[in-house]
Amino acid sequence: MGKRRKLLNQKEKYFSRTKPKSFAVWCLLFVFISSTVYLIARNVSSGGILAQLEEDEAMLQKKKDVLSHQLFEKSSLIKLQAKAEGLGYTKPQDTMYIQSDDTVAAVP
Amino acid sequence: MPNRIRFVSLVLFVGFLLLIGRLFYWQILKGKELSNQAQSQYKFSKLVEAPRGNILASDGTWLAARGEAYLVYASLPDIGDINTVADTLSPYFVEFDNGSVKKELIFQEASRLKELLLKDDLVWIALKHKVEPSVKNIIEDLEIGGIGFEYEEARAYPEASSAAHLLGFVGKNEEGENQGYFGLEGYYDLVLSGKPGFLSRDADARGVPILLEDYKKTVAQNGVDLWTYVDKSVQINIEKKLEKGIERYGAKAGTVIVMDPKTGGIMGAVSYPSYDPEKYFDYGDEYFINPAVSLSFEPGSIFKVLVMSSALDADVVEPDTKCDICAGPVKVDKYVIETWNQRYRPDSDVTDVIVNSDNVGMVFVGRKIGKEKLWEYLNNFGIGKETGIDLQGEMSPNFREKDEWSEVDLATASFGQGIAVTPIQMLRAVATVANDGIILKPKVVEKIASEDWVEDIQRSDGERVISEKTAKEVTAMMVEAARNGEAKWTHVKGFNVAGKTGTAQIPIAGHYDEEKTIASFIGFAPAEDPKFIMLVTLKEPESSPWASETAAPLWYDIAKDLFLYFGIQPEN
Repeated sequence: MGKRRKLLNQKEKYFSRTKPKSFAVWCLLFVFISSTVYLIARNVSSGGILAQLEEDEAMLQKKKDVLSHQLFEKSSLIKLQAKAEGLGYTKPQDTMYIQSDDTVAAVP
Repeated sequence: MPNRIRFVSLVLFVGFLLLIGRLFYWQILKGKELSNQAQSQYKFSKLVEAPRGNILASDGTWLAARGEAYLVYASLPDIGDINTVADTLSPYFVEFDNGSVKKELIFQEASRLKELLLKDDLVWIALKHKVEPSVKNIIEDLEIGGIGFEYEEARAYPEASSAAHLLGFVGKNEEGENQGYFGLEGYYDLVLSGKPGFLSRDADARGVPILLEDYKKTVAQNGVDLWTYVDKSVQINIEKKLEKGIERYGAKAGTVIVMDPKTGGIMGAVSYPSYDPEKYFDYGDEYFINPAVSLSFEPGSIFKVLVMSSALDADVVEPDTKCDICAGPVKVDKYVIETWNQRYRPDSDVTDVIVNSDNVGMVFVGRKIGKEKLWEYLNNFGIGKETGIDLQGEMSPNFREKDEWSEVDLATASFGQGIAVTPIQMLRAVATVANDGIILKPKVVEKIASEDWVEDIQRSDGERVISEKTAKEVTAMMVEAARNGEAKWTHVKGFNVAGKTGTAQIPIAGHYDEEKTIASFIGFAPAEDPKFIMLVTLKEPESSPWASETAAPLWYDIAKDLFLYFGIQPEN
C-alpha cells in the first residue's frame, strides 16, 4: 500500500510538472499544422488564379493580334491608293512651280 | 488462450500479410509504372513560341508583320465519309483568282485531300498549312467531325509584292522551323526569330497549376523589329514606274535603287522580274536572287564618273585639261577605240569628255592616271569588294589585281567596259561624289527595336576617297552632262541634277553583242546638297539600245515625283 501510494504520488508530481509543457507543445503543433494547411490551400487557390490570369493573357494577346492585324491592313499604302483611285482621286499630271512673290489665294 | 481469440488473431494476421503483400505489389513492383502514369497526368510542359519580329518602313508602318494562320488537320479515326469531307473542304483550300475559281483546281484539291485521308497507318495528318483565320472560321462552323485547327504563325505583307527583293521571305528549314531566306529576312533571321522559351510545371486534372511542385520557366525572347530606311511612298512609286518603263522600252529586266547619299540609307529598291514573298513557293529560285546586290553588269559610261574623280583627285588632270588624242579614234594594242557616235572633238577638255561621254577622251584620262593609281582609287571606291549592305546574298564580281592589268584593260576600264560591278557597288561609289568624297556603307535597316528598347544600327563615319574639291568638280561635270549631254532632251529644266548616262554592250561568249545593251542612268539631286541618289538600269531595251532614250527618261520620270516628295525646288 505504501509503495503504491508512493508511485501514485510520483506520477502526480511528474504529470503536474509536465502538463504545462505538453500543452504548449500541442498548441505549437496545432498552430504549425493549421498554418501548413492554410498555406497549402492558399497555394492551390493561387494556382487557380494563375491559370485564370494565363487565360486572360492569352485572350488579350489574341485581341491585340486581331487589332494589330486590322491596323496593319489599314496602313497599307497600296490599298489606300487603290481605294483613292476607286473614289475618283487621280495623281496630278503636271506640276507648276510659282515664284514666292506670285499672288495666290490667301487669308486676308 | 481460448480458440476463438486464436482464430481471430490468425485471421487478422493473414489479412495483415495480404495487405503487406498487396502494398508491396503496388508500391514496389508496380511503383515505377504508376509513378510514370501519374507524372504524365500532372506533368505539363510546352515550348513557348517566340513571335517573329516585324519589318517596318521609315514611318513605322509595316512592310512585313506577324500574321495569324492555321494548320487544318484531320484526326483520322474520327473522320466520317472521306469523300464528303474532301469535297466539302476542297473549295476552301483553293486560291481565288479575281473572284473566279477553276473547277479543275477544286477537283485536284479534292483528290489530294482524299489521298491524304486514305492513309490507314496514320492517326493524325496535316491537310493544309497557312489557312487564313476567316477561312478557318467558316470551316469550323461546318462542324466536320475529325477536323481540327492548330495556330501557325504566318508572315503577312500589307504592300503585297512590294519590296520583295529587299524583304526576302520566310520559309521552312530542314527541321520544319521558320527560317528567313534572302533580303532582310535572311540577313537578320537570328534577331527576327528571337528565342523560344520553355514552361514545365505540375498541374491538376483540370490543368490548374500546382505551384508547390516543380515549376520551371524560361521566358521566350521575342524577335526584334527592324526599322528600315525604306520610304513606302518612294518604294511603291519606283515599282510602278519601273514596271511601266520595262513595258514601254521593251526591256527584259531592270533595277532602280534610291539611296540617301548622306547616310547610305536605302529609301527604295526594286528589280524586275520580282515575286510575291507571301506566295514564294509559286516561284522558281531564279526570282529570289536580288539583281541589285547579287548580279553584276559592265557599267559602261556611268563608270567614267569614278575614273574622272580618280584622275582629278590624283592631280593628273584639271577640269580644263585638254585631251590631245581626241581628234580621232585611238589605237590600243590591236584594238581601236572609238566614240559612241563617231564624232570627235579635237578641242575637248576633260569636262567635255564627260559631257559628250567620249571614250577616246577617257582613254586619255586613264593613261594619265595609270593603271596602278586607277586600281587603287577604284579599290577605295569599293569596286571588287562587297559593300556590306545588310541583305542576304550580296556578291562581288572579280576585280583583277593591278599587276594583271594590260594596256587594253586600262583603256576599256576607263569607259566602263571589261570591268563588272553590281548595281549597289556602282551606286555607293557615285554616292561618294555626292557625299563630298566620303564613302559610306549602304544599309537598309536604321535601327532595331523591342517592346521596351530601341537601338540604332552602328553607323561607320565613312572614309575619305577623294577630296571635297574633287567631289565638287566632278559634280559640276555631271551637272553639265545632265544639262548638255546626250540625255539633255530628258532633262527637267530648272532642277540642278548631276547625272550620267551609260550604255554598255553585253559580253556574250567572249565577245560583245552587237545589239544588246544595258542602259543606265545614275544621278543625284539637288547637286549642291543631294537629297537622293538614284540608279536606273534596263537590260536589253528593245525600243532603243541607248540609255539617253530609255534609262535617262525613266530616271527623270521617277525624279519628278521625288522632287515634289522631298521638297526640292527648281532654281530660279
